[in-house]
Amino acid sequence: MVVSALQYGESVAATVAEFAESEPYRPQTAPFVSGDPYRRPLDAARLAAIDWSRPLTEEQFVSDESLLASRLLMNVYESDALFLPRDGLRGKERGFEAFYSSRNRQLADRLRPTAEHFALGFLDDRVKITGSWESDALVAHLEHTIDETVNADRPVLQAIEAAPDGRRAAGMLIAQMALDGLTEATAMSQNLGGAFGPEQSELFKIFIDEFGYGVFAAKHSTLFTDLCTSAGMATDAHHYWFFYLPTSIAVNNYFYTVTRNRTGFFRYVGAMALLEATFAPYFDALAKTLRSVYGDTVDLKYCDEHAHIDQHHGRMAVHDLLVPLARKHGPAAARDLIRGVEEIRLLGALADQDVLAQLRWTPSVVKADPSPVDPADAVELTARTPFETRVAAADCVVRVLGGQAQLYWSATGDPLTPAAGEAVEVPKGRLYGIRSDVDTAIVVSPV
Amino acid sequence: MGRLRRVELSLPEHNSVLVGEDLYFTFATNGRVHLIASRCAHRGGPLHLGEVRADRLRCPWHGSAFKVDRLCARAVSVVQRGSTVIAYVPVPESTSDDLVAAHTLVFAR
Repeated sequence: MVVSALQYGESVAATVAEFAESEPYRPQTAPFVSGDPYRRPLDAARLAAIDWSRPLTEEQFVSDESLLASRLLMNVYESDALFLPRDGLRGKERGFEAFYSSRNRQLADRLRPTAEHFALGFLDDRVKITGSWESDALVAHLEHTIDETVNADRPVLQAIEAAPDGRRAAGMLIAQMALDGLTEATAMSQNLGGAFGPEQSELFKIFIDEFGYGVFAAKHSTLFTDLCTSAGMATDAHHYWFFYLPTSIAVNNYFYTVTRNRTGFFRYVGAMALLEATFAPYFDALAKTLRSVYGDTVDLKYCDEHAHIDQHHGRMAVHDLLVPLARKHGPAAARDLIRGVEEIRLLGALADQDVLAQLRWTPSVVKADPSPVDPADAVELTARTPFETRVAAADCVVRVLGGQAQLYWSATGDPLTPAAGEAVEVPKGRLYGIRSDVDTAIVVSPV
Repeated sequence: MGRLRRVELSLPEHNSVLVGEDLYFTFATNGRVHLIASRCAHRGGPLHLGEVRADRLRCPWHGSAFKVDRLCARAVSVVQRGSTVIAYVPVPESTSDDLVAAHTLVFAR
């Protein structure tokens, strides 16, 4: 049966709309999500404008559509993992039931392949592996890529150290890390079941380190929580929901994509091996950066643990997992192992560029252009207007016509507060959100 | 015994790799670049000058024909990053590294 593009589009759009309009994903007015792991706002109206039949290109990876699709996918994946409120379920039973409802699970399963193809399909065009890959070529390429990554500059860390407000910059990076840090190794856990020989046990050795050998205080996600607390940041899952950059979510989603789809297993191992083999020096450098920003009070056990254990995980992932898998499972598996290495290398580079651009953006309030505005272009904000962040499609100006707005662009720190007659410029690709406690009118226009 | 040498080609400037006197040529199918040994298994003819007919590459010397799919499956290990092609070519121990290079040829096809 041939399904027309229109039928396909209508079907996907209807599924996305029903999912996005369900209780856990409804909008809220506050810029942060507190104390409820089931609250993950989605903007159903902006999602409805997406043409799911036209996957993002690499050039569109930093875009509002990418942000929306990545948030949607993240909710799809994480509604397959167990979250319980830290302070207990009492009072949140309804959210619990809604988040894990059979209907939402059905919708998630239906929309997932389309959303995955839309958000990450460009990897098929950008990463191509051909030829016969024996283990010597595989190891040569992996070692070269590890060497390139380890010895590359770290402009994100340099930008944090040079930032006029180092805590705001570091907080934005930590918020991106929270995507994985607070649920660390959840994607990995999806490959622990089944039966795939000695490599299954090798993967499990890495996993038990991530889980602190069953000691909660040593679990990597606990160490990350300690880091957040010491830096004055919230530790609720997805407290900084609105401040995840699209590329940061996509990198996290990638690991769910290649674990949720069992045929992605070899890509997962390739990607995981590259990260594990490059994390130790990265976390060593990150620890120095965070120490320079926060001083002696910051708890760096999370960084120190990675700087140590990932020396072992890198070796284990490459020599006890990746190479034996390539030898045992042949050329198709070997190509996918290398594909995973290349895919995470590309995604990581794009995510670094995105976070770097966000960190380097220091918006300021300026006097607005006094020229008249078409009333039809004005947007009314009240204290009851749902909060949202978005990615600017082009360089634009947010101009306040009346009242006073709050413009957020980072996970921590105070927002800017332009009043009537004032404006803030937002560069293309930058994430920002606007709210107000008083009746306010704004207009967003291209530069 | 041989070893592997990493060679980076910049497309479309480079379309071949020289390893001493051995030649490997790029061959694109479905947007994917393969790096194939040019030496015909029959009498050593130049496959890079061959023509593709009915999914087979024909050697210009004696007409030996090889399935493109099989040539690609046995091709050199290649990673394609946009216009950069990274290849791991087998190099005999007796061939020094300075005899291994990305190269540009005029193909007949």
